[in-house]
Amino acid sequence: MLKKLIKYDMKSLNHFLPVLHLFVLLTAILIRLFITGRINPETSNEQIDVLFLLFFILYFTTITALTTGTYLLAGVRFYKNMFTDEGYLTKTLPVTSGTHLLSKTITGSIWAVINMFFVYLCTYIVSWTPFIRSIVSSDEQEILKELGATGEYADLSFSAAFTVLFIFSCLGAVSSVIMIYASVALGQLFSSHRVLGAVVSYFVISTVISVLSFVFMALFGHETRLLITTASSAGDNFNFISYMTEVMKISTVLMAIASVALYSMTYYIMNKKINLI
Amino acid sequence: MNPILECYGLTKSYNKMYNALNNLNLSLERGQIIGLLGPNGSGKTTFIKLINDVLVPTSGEIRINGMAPGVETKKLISYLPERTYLDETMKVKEIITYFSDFYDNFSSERAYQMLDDLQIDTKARLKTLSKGTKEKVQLILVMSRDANLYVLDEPIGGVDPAARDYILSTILNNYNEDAAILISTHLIHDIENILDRVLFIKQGQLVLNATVGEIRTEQGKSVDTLFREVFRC
Repeated sequence: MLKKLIKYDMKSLNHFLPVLHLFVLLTAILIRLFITGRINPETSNEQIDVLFLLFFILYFTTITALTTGTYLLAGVRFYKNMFTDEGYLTKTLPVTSGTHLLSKTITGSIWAVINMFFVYLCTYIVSWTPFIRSIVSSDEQEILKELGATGEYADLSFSAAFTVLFIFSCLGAVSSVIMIYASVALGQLFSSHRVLGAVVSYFVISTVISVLSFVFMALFGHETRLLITTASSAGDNFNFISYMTEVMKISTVLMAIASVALYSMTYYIMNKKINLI
Repeated sequence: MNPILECYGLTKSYNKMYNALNNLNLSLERGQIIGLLGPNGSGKTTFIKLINDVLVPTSGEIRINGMAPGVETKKLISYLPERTYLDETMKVKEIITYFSDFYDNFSSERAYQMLDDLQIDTKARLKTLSKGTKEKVQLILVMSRDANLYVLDEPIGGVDPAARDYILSTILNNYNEDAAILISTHLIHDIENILDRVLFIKQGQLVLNATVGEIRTEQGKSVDTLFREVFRC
């Protein structure tokens, strides 16, 4: 049954998301052709500033819209299919609530990871111009060293760093899907205004997770401001790579704990608490 | 053989002030068409939703073929809610494939035959169909299953009289003696002739559980007349 559910959930998400992503890919290619690709050593500083600002605004807006759209569509599919009129069919299929949740989580995660891949691909297209590449390749070792690629990180390359960052981003994407579903499920516990309830739940969960992350980072001595102040006062250099590695380790553990807790809560609500009205 | 449906002290409240269903005790045997009758807000739809596991009871128990609502009971029940529950972006033929994928007891052949009888275009998307046609499609899907319990919430409310006759004959033709049909409706006069038993529900409580024969012979009244007397405003 899980395979069949995944088939229909993917089919539903595939109505909009491929078009949305191809559109953003096209935008990235256009930005590369008409903005970032035109930045070269002969370009004056003022022109570079204007072009860079234009690129930054356009690119950031597009990528944010794409990512938000992907999560929103996954959340809407979950809500519509499980808790609106369609839920009367979905909920009466001979399938457990757990299987429904797993199917939605798998399909939502697949699209979240595809989205992440597009974000990285588009960033590569718009930023990895011959001009930037020539600067980076000539000074790669020096840049890496400045970032902290010394000692145990001495063998680090840009591609290895991006691979780690991509895997970390994908885990974050899956965790976000689980969080959105948990918010939607929590919204169903409200007697009315359930969509508003879901939105409020999302902000409450995000805030709680942010506060917990801050507390954990501080506990492990990795709160940014604290670390830089301490390092500066001690006269040491701030090692960005070492810092980011530690932050990613702690964040991964936190993300895993939060995801398991939110997934379990969503499962419990779907199994025991749902009243379709 | 187990009764197809049993309820013990079944209660559902949406808030602390009011019970939509109040301590319902009931046992229904197979091989009969049962009318679930009552005025608006009497608890009919709440009862039907509880049978189908789309509501969680506040207290009490419900058993379908001896089992609590779950995956196994959903294989046995064919449910028609009082609203459009299909993905309206899908084509009729895609919906048939969907039902065929999930219900082992669904007959695509029977569904296509009924769609053909009612001249419904299987290539049309649901959102392009009229409200009445959507209702017909839903009823066809529900009646194309070889279920043990058909639960139909207002199945004929939105369709024209000609289609109504077709639907009622479809209901009669497609169920067997191992199955039961529970129909909730206001249109008592239209369905009285096909009913074997009626349940009257008033303010969440069962006030009558009798066969149509008993009502006619013992009280000398039609179900429609008795309904008007019991629920006089």
